[in-house]
Amino acid sequence: MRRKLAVVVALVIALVFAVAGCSSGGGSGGGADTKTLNLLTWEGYHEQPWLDEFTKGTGIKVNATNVGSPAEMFAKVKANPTQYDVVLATSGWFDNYAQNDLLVPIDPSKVAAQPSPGFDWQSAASSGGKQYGILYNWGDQPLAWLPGSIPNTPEMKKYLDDQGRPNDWNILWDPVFAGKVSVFDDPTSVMPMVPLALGFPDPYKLTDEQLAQVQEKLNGLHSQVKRLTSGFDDQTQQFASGDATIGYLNIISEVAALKKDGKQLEVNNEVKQGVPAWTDNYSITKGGAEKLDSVYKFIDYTAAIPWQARFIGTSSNSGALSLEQAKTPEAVNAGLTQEALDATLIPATASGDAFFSKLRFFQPVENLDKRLDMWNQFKLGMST
Amino acid sequence: MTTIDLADQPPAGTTTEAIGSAPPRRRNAVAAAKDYLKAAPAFVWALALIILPNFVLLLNSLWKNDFGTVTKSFTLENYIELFQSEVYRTLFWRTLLTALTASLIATVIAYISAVVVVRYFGRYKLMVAILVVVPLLISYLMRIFAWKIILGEHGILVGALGDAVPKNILYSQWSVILTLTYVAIPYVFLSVFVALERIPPHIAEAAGDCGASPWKTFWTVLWPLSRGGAAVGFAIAFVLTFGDYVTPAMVGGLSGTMLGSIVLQEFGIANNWPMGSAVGVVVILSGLVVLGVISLFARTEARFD
Repeated sequence: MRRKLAVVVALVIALVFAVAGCSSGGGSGGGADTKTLNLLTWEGYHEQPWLDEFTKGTGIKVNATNVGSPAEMFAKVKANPTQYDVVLATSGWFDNYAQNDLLVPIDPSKVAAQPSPGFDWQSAASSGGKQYGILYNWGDQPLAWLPGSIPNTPEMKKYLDDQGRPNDWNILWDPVFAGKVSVFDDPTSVMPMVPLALGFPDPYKLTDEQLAQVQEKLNGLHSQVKRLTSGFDDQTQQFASGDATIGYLNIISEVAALKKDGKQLEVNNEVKQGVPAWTDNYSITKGGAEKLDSVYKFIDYTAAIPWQARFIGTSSNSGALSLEQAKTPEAVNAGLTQEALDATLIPATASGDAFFSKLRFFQPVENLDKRLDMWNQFKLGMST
Repeated sequence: MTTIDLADQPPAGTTTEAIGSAPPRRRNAVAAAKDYLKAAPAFVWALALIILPNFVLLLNSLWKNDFGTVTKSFTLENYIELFQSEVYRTLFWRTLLTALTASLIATVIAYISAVVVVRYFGRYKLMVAILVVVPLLISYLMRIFAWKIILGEHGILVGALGDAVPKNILYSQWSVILTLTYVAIPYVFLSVFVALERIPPHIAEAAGDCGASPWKTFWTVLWPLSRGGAAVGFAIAFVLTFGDYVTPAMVGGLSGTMLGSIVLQEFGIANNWPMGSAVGVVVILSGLVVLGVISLFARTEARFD
């Protein structure tokens, strides 16, 4: 009886593998629907009414899924490389995507309008000499605070600039703000701020000695933070409720979101030690490689001034327009008023290198495993 | 009147089985195959949803990770790194302590509630039992989020009790234990309720008739017969709470970080699936050890029917 049971089980196993083998060519599968794009994006980047407009004009349907962190986006693509066709990959992650063979290189000749925001975004969207991304949005992670939350004391003056704005990352470590500092749960985005607070010019390439100092500094932040937020909306709500009064902002669009609720949030995008910055770039997956015509149509459509102006005007993100493009009548007609423009980083780009030299765009780091271990030690409140 | 022919009786000392049963029948191969095929869906289910996924997890945990690329060469370095890492050790013990505490408290509360429901609610006990488990119909995230509102600094608890409760209970390990306990109670209640329901009421009455006090009746009669259900409920609660990462993320703050968040990190930011798999295997094996210990309490000491 045992032998018969073993034979049946073996037959069942063989059947299961046979069925799995027949279906393993799947994902979006052979015969992919080239008129449907599956997009992995960020909150506020591709609103449904805008996508419906694109569908109406081109006949290409776009299904958008939002993520809360670059790590989540990478994990989703790696888990199922053909489920999504286009992803908004963040700078600093392209080596990961390339090493895992998850993306196809961009063909610049197929992109009608190359973004020209005033800085070299192509390097951050490349890996191994190949360009894998087309800029869609960029921004930085500014220092943010609720109006009236900075005590008017002599001790605070060392953190302020001559306009009375906080201009030093070290303010986040001041005991006055214990339990009131907002930081989000993304070590790759947050940790670059810590070496800047220590005065290290390159927050992405640290020596062992510098890493030890960063660990100690990071652990010092434990008592300042009650909880780590996840996603843009979570941090917005934390500021809105007053649970946090000062922090390291995830994205500038939170300012606009708070303003809609009648609340103010002040930001400083030019902190004296430098500000971590990022770019989000359209990247084409293996699934999208079978729908290149539709993919490039979508990229071109959303890179055009009307779409970008609406995106920028609605979310206060910086998009991919230059200052000149942002001031054109076409942009204004699409909703990018002067007030909306002033809420973005675009006017600051007029300073050219004087502004961009303070930004530290995300890059691959010297030792990711070490940094993650440091982050976990910070979360656990472990002292060095 | 029936006459018994002694010559037909078996000799003394002969077992009836030796001479009473017919020779084993041989079924043909087709009938046997039909029987096994009827059981095949269960085999396929167990294979596809339990055996294969765990096998793949174990396999992944033994592979190397080279800067995000998995190399299929066997190594124990993931486990060595796990056990040598102070971060993982700290997280492991914190997670274990939190899960055991929440499961124990949930079991005590659910057991007492089940005893009260079974004993005092008469014909309404089933309805009350349903009311206890009806929160399970609500989204898990919504129930966790509700505790953020209850425990918040400006929440319902502080609003109702003022200075009698600490204002910073949210985003602490205690808020994680409290929330996990709440999540586990319906599951434990169901298990204990079913176990108590199976005990005939006349057994407790008989103990009372023999002079046993209510406590003695409970300790010597009811508890031994129902502790199996409590053990199963505890096991379910432990399995649910040990691997949870959503609850610590929503109500635990920095102090409530648990092992599940490391799994998320390894499969996400770290892009280290072998290490994430190793953590997963450790979580499963730890759970099995605890369940093994619990199974010692799951045995019923006597048949009562």
